[in-house]
Amino acid sequence: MRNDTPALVKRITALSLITILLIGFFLAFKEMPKGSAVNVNQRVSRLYVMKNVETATKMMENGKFFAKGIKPLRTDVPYTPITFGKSKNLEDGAANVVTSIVVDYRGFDTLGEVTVLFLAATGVAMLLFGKEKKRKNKTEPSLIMYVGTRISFAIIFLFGIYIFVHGHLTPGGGFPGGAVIASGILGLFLGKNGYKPNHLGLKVFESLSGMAFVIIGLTGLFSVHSFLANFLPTGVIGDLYSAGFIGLIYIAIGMKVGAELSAVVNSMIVDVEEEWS
Amino acid sequence: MQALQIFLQNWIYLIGAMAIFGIGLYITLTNENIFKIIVGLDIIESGTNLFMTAIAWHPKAVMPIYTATNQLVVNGKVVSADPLPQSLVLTAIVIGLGTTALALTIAVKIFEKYGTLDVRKIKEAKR
Amino acid sequence: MIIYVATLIVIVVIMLALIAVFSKKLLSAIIASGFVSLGVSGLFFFLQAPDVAITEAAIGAGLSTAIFIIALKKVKKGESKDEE
Repeated sequence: MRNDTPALVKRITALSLITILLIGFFLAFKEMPKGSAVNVNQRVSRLYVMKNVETATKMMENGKFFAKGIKPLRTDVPYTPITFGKSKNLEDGAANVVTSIVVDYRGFDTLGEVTVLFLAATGVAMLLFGKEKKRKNKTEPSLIMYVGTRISFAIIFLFGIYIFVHGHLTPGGGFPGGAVIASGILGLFLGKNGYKPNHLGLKVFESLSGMAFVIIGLTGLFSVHSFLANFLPTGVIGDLYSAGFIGLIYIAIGMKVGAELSAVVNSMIVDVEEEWS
Repeated sequence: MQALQIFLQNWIYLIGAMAIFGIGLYITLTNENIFKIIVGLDIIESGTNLFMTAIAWHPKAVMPIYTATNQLVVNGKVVSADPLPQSLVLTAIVIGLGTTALALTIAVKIFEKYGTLDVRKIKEAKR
Repeated sequence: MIIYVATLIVIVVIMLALIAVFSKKLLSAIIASGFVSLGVSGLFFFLQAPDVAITEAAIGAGLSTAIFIIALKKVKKGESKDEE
């Protein structure tokens, strides 16, 4: 549209476009199974819940699962029931099914996602690069703010570590744990004028945890059969030391996300001299 | 009362997702301020995540976590919510934060260079 | 019974999103978008997705709003000029 289009015309055009789009959505949703018609037993996801993907893959290789009749939704895959606290040596020992999908079955996607986050953080740091200017706020934060943020930072940091260590047992995991740690560092910035974390240390820490992710994946490649394959024993479901390498990878992801988001907050909160633009 | 409950179970989350998506798109299309456009993109993201989680749910679902009292498989049938869209949404939220931070940084750089946040004035501004 | 609570939350979230449309100041739009994220995270909990709910509450409602406000502070001078 041209620059001098009246606001009313613009609004009416936008409203009509959105109405057409929403009617299209509505017509699509009408045909879709929704509410009580949703049946997880007719989707592939039931294999993830039953922890039964390898058996199904073997049957597919033998020509039994996706046979030429094309029946991907058959329900006669052999299945052994899982009991919490008793079942041993499952295909994937995590009690949280979402975690087992994110880290184990689709771990390569997570590696790509962490890479996208790394690129975004690098872009922010590159665009805001420059020599640091002295921050001159009119008011200094009070003593209570300064002491309180420092005390609460320790508690928040511990809570973040708790979230990502227990990622395979309880809701949570590496991503929210890292975000919680970054929120604690944001609190430190609010508590004191001119607070400076060790930027180089954050970068090194983040790179090391990223490398740990790749090295764990390569270990799976050389010791078992494929990249990011589970090479540790999966113990009893529900124990802290279970689920093989999921705990290790979530610790690496948590530290990486925490350092990365802290670096983003640091880059955005610090004023710099104009060097280039 | 029963009919109302069934209608709500089938439609309320989808209606909410559609409405949030539409409102975010309206903000993005009609505003000239770059910050307001990024706020609109944030709201669109919330609507999309709500839609993708809503298609995984059915009224008798339990959460997809094995605990001592939570049975996910009863008589060979899965009764939990679908875990696959949930894991996709989990990664989409984190990527959304990264892209939002990058977009805001570019907006700050544009303000430093042109002295305005209005997309109409940026086009006409002298270099 | 929980579906009626979810209906109430959906209505509140839509009204908050409308506040983000019609507010003149940027700060109120940003705060309203943060509350939209918070309400959507509550809906995720009703949809039996506690993982997604905890992530959205930590990232969408917490850090994202904070980054918006930090960036808004950097362009504070331009904001008063642009708003009519």
